Amino acid sequence: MPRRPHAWTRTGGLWALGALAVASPGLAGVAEHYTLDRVHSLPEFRFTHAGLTTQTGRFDAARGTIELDTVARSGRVHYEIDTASLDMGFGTERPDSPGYRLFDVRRFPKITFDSDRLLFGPKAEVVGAQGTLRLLGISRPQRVRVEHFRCAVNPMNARQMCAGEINAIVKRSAFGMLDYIPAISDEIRIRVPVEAYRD
Amino acid sequence: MKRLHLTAACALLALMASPAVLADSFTIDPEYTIPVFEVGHLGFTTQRGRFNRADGKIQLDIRARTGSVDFTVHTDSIDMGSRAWTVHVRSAGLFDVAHFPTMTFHSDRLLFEGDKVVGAEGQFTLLGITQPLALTVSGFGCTTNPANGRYMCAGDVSATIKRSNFGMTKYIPTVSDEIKISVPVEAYRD
Repeated sequence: MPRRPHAWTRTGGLWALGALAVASPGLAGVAEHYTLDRVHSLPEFRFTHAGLTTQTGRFDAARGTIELDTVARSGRVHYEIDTASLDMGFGTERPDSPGYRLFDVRRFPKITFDSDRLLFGPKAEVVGAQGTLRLLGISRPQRVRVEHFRCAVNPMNARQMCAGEINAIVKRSAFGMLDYIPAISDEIRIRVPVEAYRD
Repeated sequence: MKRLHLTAACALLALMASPAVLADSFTIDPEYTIPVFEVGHLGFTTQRGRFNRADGKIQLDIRARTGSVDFTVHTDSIDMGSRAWTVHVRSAGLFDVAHFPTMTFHSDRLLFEGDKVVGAEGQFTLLGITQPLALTVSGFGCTTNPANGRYMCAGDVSATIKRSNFGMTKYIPTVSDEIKISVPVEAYRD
């Protein structure tokens, strides 16, 4: 995918400074604040069903904020999902549906991910985050990969945007979600496209 | 018991003539056969959409390595996760669901490796335009589902199309021309 030159002029031009910042942590840039576009940042999860097929579920309501300082190579993320927005594709989820029961929607209305440790690549691009995933009231360390990170002006609305693809693997049993294993796999693969606009 | 009689008759016929008469007929389970597609958004992210309603019939003769597929997707079941976006992609210029309520895939050429289906070559119809389409099947297997005691065959189907080949050119390249399609298929023997 071709990168727009102006996107990398910005981050790339700051790269040398960024390297310096690692050596002298006192030299911090200014953190920029971003808010996720809720339409284009919906989380999906995939699991193996009956050992045969890959099924996809989605949450239709999620929101998040990002603080990003590419000079200091630091930042933080808060992301939260409304569990009641679970959408498996076959109609409205009911309080007694397996999905609602698995996520125990009534007791745990949110899944959250928080990180204050973003991981940066050689061009000061975000390549991952080490943080905490909270699911069913249990918090666990979670690392996520970020691919195709890019900041540029969205030509459709002329707003500055940073975007990337989040991938993570979670074992649901680690959060006490044990029902239907192995018919519904323990391993869950999470994908979140993130499009975040500068505030 | 009817099935036993039929099977016996089929076996006899098979001995005498074409092995294809041993084909089993399967019907897809719509709750576990939900097509997903991926599209590039502005060169930034990959966005995914879904069709919540599809029907399909599969004829499969694993021994003869033959079979056929008829698959129909109901376009008005498209679901982008956001209401406004869903309404938008249903409209004329995109899926135009008022004029084209279905898209279909038909194949009578399944590809096998050993006793596993690994692909299919057929015809895909979208917006009333029919083009050849080859798709890949991974993870094919048949088993009795312990949850309901019924025999099923299943696998993950994937294919890539260029939407411009079907006249769906709106927003290219802001929204990518290339669309990746993934369909988990779970089909129960009739």
